[in-house]
Amino acid sequence: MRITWFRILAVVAVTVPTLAAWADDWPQFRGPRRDNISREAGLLRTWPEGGPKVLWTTELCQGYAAAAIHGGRVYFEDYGREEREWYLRCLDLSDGKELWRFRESKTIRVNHGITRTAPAVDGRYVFALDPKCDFHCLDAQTGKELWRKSFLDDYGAPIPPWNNGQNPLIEPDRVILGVGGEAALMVALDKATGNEIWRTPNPDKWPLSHSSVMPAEIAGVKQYLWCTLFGPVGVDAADGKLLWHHARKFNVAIAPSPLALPDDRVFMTSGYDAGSVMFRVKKEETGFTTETVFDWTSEQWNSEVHTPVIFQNHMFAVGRTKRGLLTCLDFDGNIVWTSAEQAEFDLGSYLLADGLLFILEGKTGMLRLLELNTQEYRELDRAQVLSGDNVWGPMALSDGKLVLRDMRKMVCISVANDPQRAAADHGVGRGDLGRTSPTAHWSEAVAHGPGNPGWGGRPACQGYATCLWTPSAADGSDVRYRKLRVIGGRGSEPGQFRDELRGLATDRADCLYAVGDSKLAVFSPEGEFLRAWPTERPGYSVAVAADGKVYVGEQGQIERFDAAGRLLDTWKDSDRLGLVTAIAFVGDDVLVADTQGRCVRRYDRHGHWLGDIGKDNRMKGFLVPNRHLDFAVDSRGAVHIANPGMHRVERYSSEGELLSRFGHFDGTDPAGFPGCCNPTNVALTPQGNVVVAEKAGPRVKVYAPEGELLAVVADRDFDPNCKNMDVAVDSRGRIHVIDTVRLQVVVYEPEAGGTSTQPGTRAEEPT
Amino acid sequence: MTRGLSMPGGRSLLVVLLACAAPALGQYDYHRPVEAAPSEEDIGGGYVTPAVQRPPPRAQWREAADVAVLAAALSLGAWLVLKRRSRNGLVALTIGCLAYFGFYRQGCVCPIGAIQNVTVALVDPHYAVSYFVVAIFFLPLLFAVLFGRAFCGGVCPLGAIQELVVLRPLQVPRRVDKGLGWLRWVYLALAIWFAALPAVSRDFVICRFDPFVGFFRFAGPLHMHLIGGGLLVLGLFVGRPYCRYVCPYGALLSLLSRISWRAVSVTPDKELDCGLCAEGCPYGAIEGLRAVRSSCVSCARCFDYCPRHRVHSPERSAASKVS
Amino acid sequence: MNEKPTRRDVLGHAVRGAALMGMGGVAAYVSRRAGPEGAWRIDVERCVNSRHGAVGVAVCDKCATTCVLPLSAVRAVNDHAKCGRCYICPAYFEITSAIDERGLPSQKLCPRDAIRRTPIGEVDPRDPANNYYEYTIDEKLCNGCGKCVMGCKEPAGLSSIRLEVRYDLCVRCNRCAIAVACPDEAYERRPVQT
Repeated sequence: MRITWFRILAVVAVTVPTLAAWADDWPQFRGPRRDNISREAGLLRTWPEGGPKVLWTTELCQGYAAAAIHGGRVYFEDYGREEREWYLRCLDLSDGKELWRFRESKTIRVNHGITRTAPAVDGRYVFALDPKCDFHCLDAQTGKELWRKSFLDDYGAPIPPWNNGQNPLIEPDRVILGVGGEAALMVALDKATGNEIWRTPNPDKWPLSHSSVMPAEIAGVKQYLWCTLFGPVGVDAADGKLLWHHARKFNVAIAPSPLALPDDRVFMTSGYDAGSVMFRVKKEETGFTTETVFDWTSEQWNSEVHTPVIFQNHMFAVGRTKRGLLTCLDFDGNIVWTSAEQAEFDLGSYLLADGLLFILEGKTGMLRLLELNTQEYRELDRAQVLSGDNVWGPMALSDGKLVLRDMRKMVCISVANDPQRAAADHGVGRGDLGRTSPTAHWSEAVAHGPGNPGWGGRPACQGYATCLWTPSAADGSDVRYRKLRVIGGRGSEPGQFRDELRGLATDRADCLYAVGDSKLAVFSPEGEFLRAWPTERPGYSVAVAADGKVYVGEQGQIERFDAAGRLLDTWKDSDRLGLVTAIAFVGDDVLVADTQGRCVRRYDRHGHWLGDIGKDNRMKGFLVPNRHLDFAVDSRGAVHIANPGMHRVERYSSEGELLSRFGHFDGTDPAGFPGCCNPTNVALTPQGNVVVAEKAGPRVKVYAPEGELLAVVADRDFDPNCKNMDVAVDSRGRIHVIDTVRLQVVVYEPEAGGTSTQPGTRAEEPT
Repeated sequence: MTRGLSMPGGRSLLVVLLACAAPALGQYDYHRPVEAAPSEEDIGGGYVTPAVQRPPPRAQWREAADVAVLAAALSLGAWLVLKRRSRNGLVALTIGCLAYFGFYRQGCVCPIGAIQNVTVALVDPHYAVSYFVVAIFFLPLLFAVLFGRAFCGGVCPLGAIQELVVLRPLQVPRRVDKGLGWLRWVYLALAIWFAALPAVSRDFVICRFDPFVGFFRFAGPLHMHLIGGGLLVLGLFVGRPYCRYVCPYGALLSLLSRISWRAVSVTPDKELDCGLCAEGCPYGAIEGLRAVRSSCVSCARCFDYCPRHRVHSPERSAASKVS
Repeated sequence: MNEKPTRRDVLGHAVRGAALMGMGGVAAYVSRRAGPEGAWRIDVERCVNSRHGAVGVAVCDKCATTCVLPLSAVRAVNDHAKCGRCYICPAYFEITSAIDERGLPSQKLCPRDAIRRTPIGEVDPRDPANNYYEYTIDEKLCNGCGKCVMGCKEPAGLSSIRLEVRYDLCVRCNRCAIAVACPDEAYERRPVQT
């Protein structure tokens, strides 16, 4: 006898993926599960300076109508005041380009705004209830009208004051509307034809207001909750029979919708001094009855237009009587905290995703980012995204893009941690939607997800039993590696190292150069020790130039040797060569990674400093808590730099211009970079693929230049305490990796067409 | 009078009195960022938005009339006291002024309170005092220099209400009278001090403790009525206690009336030293059988007590019996 | 007056002349800064009835109850250009009263019934709830109690109603009783810049 409201959501959730294309759509008012929570993850927890990136903006007629997003398309209502035309517009989510626009000649006069509601879209149809309560079904691809209904003509329903405020609800095969007319209270219409599946009679002529229908399961019966001007009702989802009516006065207009809570409780709040009510729905032999749990005046608490969002067994909403303060309430009606003295939101809307609450200030259009919790108001960031006044329209989130509006414009901003979200993200999204566990607590799953706060990244798979990684079928067969041999080791032999082995390089003849302790050792392409010579200080990096000169990077200096090991000179630059952890060459110039300066320095062949790469960001350099900055230069002179603190590989021109980047935090998905700071080391194959090494636990992976994961080369061949494992790739594509604990070099060789020999590779086929 | 007006200050007053042009629209324009209200086009049907309801500009003739009435009453009072020597005429004027300035204008044409406005205008460059307030403040002072305290005798509604309740006046011992007279200066100093404070802490104590304005308005806080009632009861036995011991404007007037050009002389010609007038003066303003300029409030009572006056004006004898 | 003026007379004239000149000087100095008016007015951004953000608080009726005039000099004023012309005006109706079958509240908000509601413009018979209405305040009845101002305030209304001091009625007390009583120091005496 408890509300299995997560199952309601599950029902909605199941309906969506049948037609969903990708990401987590926002197909209707309050999102796919009508709980105002997006399942998107990997969202920025702090925004760049100047606010999140604005992807596009489009002008709107005044109103509060929100967008619905499905399959990378944005649908919303609009009105042309000059033309006197009502519009349903469809935009491309990525660039805001208009794909189509449905027009209907209609006179709608300003009445505190014109448009108010979001359409509902399932990929095939778009449903929209226009301000004059004409209901339209359009083809989602073309915008052609398929069928329509009129509340006034078909059901004898009055057009409410301030025009329509109801958002249609879509179910797998039908669309549910509260009509509140003489002929019907609520109707279910067939999506394809508009034929009536059932209708609820309305003998007492309860008129409609601005509330929307909410799906719920109460006392084991699936039902639709709705609030008429004379109080909330529950209608049997199966046949449209009126199950119960909670008679309570709600004054002249009702914008929020009934909210189902555990234990068969329903919370209903409204504006115009109506206050709030919590009541329990009981199923008895004679039928359903309701019983008030508590009833508040608006002096106690109410929400004027928005319906609360549920998170961690609490309700969160902006309350009017507390001057638009964000309020955390428990289900017993206790106010846990408010945003008093921190922020006021007027009638601004809010949306929850990834444990983050996006919330708008209704007067100013300031968007604030909160880390939602039941302890306190905790703000992470804020940005002036919109401009006031009356910024009351709800928001929509899909694919890391937040679509929001004020009275004059709709804006799409990027709030994703990684703007170039990998395809794997979408795979996860799709899998989740179809994989709803019947016992999973939906909002809790999301709620606890971001409880992994430390890394500021995206915790992709929390709450789910299985994590999926889909290797690229096209390239997977081309990139397999097997372990070839091990070189060196801890010891006192000339080809061994006693304490440290840190830097690795290959020359044109594929000879291997390794630096550690205070010596440099050279091995043949077959791994036999050739020769060794001492260095002044312990080497951290080594490189062999085209002319055969050997550069060894050390603390505060670079030593140059000829091929035979004779010292040529020493570059000393205490300001710019703090700790040299990588060296490479671009044309005649030498690039040097300075871990202390957290950037790559460029010198000419004579040791004159020319400039720096990577200083022009908000961090004034790369984030290298490992005290190790590594990079590699490809055949076209582009510099690939590992930025472990940002969990990505960044590609720069040799002049220092950022060309591209890939990678994101993910503790589970091999395509992402786990831990605090990975990857630590980077190298390039002759084909231009990117080889990276990670620490904790140590592993080596290969990515395509665009960032697609091609292979996990090795993740069990190293001592677990290895870190900053330098990587070098020779002309045959063999990958050399340092085991920094065992002081040996592990060599992997590419394997054409075979199955992976790496037992640890966790690539699985998607189910 | 003529001389006064030929002076620079007087001329500016005259100019000011005539310049009653600009309407006072002291309201905010209230801006809303979003044009959420329907336009005339939305409303349709040829609808024209009515203008915001506003009263017509305040009639400045009314304040000009106040100043004119004040000037006329002062002139009439001076004439009645100094030339006509008519107590009855002055009583009529007193009642008229009490009715107009007191009950009709509700005590708001008030040179006493104007002390504070002029003080604020002197110290606060942001405070704009009205021309009329300046005129109301200076006119009685001007008359005091010329004709003595004509304002106190016949024009001031506060004086008038006390004048009318004098029933059985006692003579206050001269030393006590003089000592208490200093209170006016203390009160004046306090009033100026509080008015000269910065705007946030400024206070108009004269208005705050105005004893009779509550009666004029048939309203006001209890303490006003208590002070006013107490003063009136006291005034049955001690003539004009507020004017003599409290009124800060009276202090200024008494100072200026010391140098007045014309002053009250008890007898029309040569004075006889019979001393009847001194007993008849409820305010202790006759000293050495002569009216003391600074304390004489020009009430004209002494004329009725003067035997020579009766000789010169036989018609007065009937009236004297009444008083 | 044929007698030769004595020394005392001459001295008296001199003192009087000096006093008059002094007074004239002060008067001239003050008059330079004097204006035609210094009026009491209400700062709508401070008055609790119109101040944005002050919602869910009690209406302040000090303007109506403390003015020395029998009927206060304060009036509610509706700026029609900013009025939403709503069907259900929260300043006209007592929105918490029971609603009738048209959805209209059964009671009016104004205790003195000083607001007039008139349909205006084009009337759409199919959509009566979205026609426009003009709300006019009867100045003879209004006492500035502020209820409608609070009712019209955002977010319920568009804040088109505010309180104003009627300068033709205000007697301009130095120590204005409303200003003394005003809890928000919204009542202020300001010079009028012309």
